[in-house]
Amino acid sequence: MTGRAPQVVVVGAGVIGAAVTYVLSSAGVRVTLVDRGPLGGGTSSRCDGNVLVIDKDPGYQAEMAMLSQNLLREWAGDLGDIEYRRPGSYLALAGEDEEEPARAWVDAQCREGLAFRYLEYEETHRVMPDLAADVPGSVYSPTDSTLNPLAYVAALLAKSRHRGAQVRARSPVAEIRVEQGRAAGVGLADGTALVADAVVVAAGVWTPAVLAPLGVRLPIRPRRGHLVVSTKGPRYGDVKVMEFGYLMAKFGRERVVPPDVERFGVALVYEPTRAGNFVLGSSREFAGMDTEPDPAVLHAIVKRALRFYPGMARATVLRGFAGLRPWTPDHVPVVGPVPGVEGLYVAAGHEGDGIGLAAVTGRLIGDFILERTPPLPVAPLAVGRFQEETAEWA
Amino acid sequence: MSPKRFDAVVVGAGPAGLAAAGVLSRAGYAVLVVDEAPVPGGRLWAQWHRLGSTVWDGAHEVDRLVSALAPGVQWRLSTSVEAIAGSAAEGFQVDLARGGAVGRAVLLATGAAEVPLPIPGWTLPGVLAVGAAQTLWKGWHIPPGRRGIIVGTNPLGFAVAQELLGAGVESLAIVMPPPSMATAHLGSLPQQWDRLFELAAGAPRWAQPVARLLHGRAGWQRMAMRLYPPGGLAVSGARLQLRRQALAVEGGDCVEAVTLQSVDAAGLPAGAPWTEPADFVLLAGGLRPLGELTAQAGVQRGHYDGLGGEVPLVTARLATSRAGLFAAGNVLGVESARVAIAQGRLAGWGMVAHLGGSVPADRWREAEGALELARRDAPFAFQPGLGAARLRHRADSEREVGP
Amino acid sequence: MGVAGARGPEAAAPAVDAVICRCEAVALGALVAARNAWAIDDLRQLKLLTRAGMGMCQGRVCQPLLESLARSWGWDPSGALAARPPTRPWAMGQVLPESSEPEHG
Repeated sequence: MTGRAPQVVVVGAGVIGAAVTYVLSSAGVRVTLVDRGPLGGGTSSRCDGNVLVIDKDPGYQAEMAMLSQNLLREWAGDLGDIEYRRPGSYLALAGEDEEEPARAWVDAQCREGLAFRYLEYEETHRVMPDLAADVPGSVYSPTDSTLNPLAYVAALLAKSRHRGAQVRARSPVAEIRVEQGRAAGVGLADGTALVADAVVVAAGVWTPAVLAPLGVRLPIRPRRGHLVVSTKGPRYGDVKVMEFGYLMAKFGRERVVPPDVERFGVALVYEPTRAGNFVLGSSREFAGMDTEPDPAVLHAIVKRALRFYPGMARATVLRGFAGLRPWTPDHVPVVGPVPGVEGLYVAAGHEGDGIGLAAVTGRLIGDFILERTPPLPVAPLAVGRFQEETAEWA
Repeated sequence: MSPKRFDAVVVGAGPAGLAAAGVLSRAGYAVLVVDEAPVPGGRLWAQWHRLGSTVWDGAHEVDRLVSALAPGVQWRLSTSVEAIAGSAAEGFQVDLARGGAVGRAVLLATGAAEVPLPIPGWTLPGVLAVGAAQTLWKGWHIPPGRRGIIVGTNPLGFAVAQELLGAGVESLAIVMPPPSMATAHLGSLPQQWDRLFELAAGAPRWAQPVARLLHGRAGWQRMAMRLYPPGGLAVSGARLQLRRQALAVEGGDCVEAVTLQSVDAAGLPAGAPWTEPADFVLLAGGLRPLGELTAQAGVQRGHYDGLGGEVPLVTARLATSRAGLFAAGNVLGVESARVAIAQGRLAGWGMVAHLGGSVPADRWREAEGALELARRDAPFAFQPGLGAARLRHRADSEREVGP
Repeated sequence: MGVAGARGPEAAAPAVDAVICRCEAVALGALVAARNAWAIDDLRQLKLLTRAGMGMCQGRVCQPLLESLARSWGWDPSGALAARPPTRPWAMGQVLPESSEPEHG
């Protein structure tokens, strides 16, 4: 890097691109953020606001999530009202067969220094009195937090603008310009050329399409997730609750559930919102780029919620929506330099954890570009790790 | 619990839906009619007005349409449609509260909704949309109050004013809405006046006093507005105060007064605001096609101000861009109930043809002729520019969906 | 304030305290403030950040007002307030088999 302030173009104004822009502009880097649509108009406005450790594999992934939570806690003071709060989160067990894996999960997380706890029957039902009486226990993670995802994106961008960042919505990228093996900037569809020392592609599920013209192939695929929103009315506790089986679905582990729950990858997520509604999730399916909600999936999500919250039969569904989570084969995001093109970086593939991992991702990209020491090993996130899968998915 | 199967599911039991159900059931098809209201008829119940030398009696029309149904029509009243999925090939899945239904063809006849006028205080009890006030009076004989102010110069407002003055309302003034970024669709006050004149001029058979008052005066609106008496003109006992705008509705727990302000002939505020006591306020913000289901069902649509908003593109026989999905009535644009009935019949025949039935040529001619006649005889246009919008809608539809 | 008598000239100011979305109690002034604070340039963003149009009626009442507002700001509102299933709210209990359905209070 030369002596002058570096100039960076970030492609994609979702939560990841916004966090990267926030980190870089806070460090004095001149950033231009471009997006083909409105800001936060893709997955970041079609998701819940979870910032979780509870569902991460013990070890690297949990450490990365913790780092992100801690960063977010620092940022929250700067960002203003993004509905940020830290209520902790719970994993409810669906049956006694889940008790042993759940206890093992807690032990493993505790060995890594996280403050997880297994709650026995009594305590589980004291904390979550609306849970079905046959839920045998739960797992508790005290640090898990939540926020309003689009407010988070908007606040990151507002602060970035104050620090000099240029933000251009509705500016599709026509090409990423590479000169002599170096990223040189971005050409927009309207003919504008943006010169840059570095280009960061943070385009979520659209990342492979943005990189394809450069011959860079990434096995990021859109995995559709539905959410259901209730009307304002009775709530079923003030804490965020998922089912332990969520992890089974997430990592493709075996799980005994009804057929539509299996088919749509449904697992309970209950999240009370500040506005007085609650959000129910979740589903995971490969269904192309279609975000039109499927009523059958909404029904399956509600059915699953009633398994854990029978009293919810009296609640009312207000709307449903679906977003495309950028899935990767190993459920770990892709964050780092693109081999062979100096100054070109990728920050994508966070599946359902983009909101939670945006902060640490922004930090890591900042560290790469500013040549600082990253706070955790970056090899597991490397762009080049998919050689075999690439052949398979290309 | 597998959903019941029908040849046709009709969504909306207003004039269009009932007319279509009549055609389909008499042609021998299994029909399910769904409506959110507990009784069929929709907005027909609130309609009673003179049409030239005859009377349009909505309640009578409901009787006629319902008695024209063949036996065996199934009903799901007080029931909402949550979503429509599937296709004509596999049958459309119509999701209803407590189970669903499957139809080989579906008619979307969901009607129109009122557009509010968001003036400060409009959320106070005692503020109603004009259509709601009409329903309250016609359906339950509850007058909205004694001393009222109607905000907005939508045709429906004039009709309701007339009805209410015969219903125990002692005093009623019609005033202009205040300008707001959220009601930019209404245009400036001079534009609203122009439309009022256009409406009056374009409705030779409009039997209402406003028409008589303003008819033939288009072209010198500005002059007319300069000469317009500040206290308004008496129209069937109501004061039509075109040179006044309502700034806010005042009151503690309910409507107590309205803050008014005079405007000059250019529509600009003139003089200090004052308040006048009132115990009810009616908002005449106009109607718009209720298109949630057409949007959710994914039919191709277009926006036409003259039709009241976003409407599906349809063939001349009212088929939408999705095979097996038809539309009729105000969901295609705000027009009279007679037009809706004619559209319902036409769509009914279109659905018969879609279901494999044969439709004699004279049936088509009859249905298409009835629609043309209903339009020609319409007492007034609900939206300015209706005719032009209809032509554009037709041309766009022909290009995108077919003739 | 009293019912009779003239109001001050401030009464003629643009009606920022007029409620646009009744369900979520969002006034015109709040929409303008949100637009300025977040540099919003899109109706869907405005909806999501202010909750206008996200209440019980799902925008059935205020949709034309929000679209008008968007147009007056030079935004294209088409598709921004897209209808999503369900088009009407439904009771969660209806996904259960009839026999196990609880009584509604």
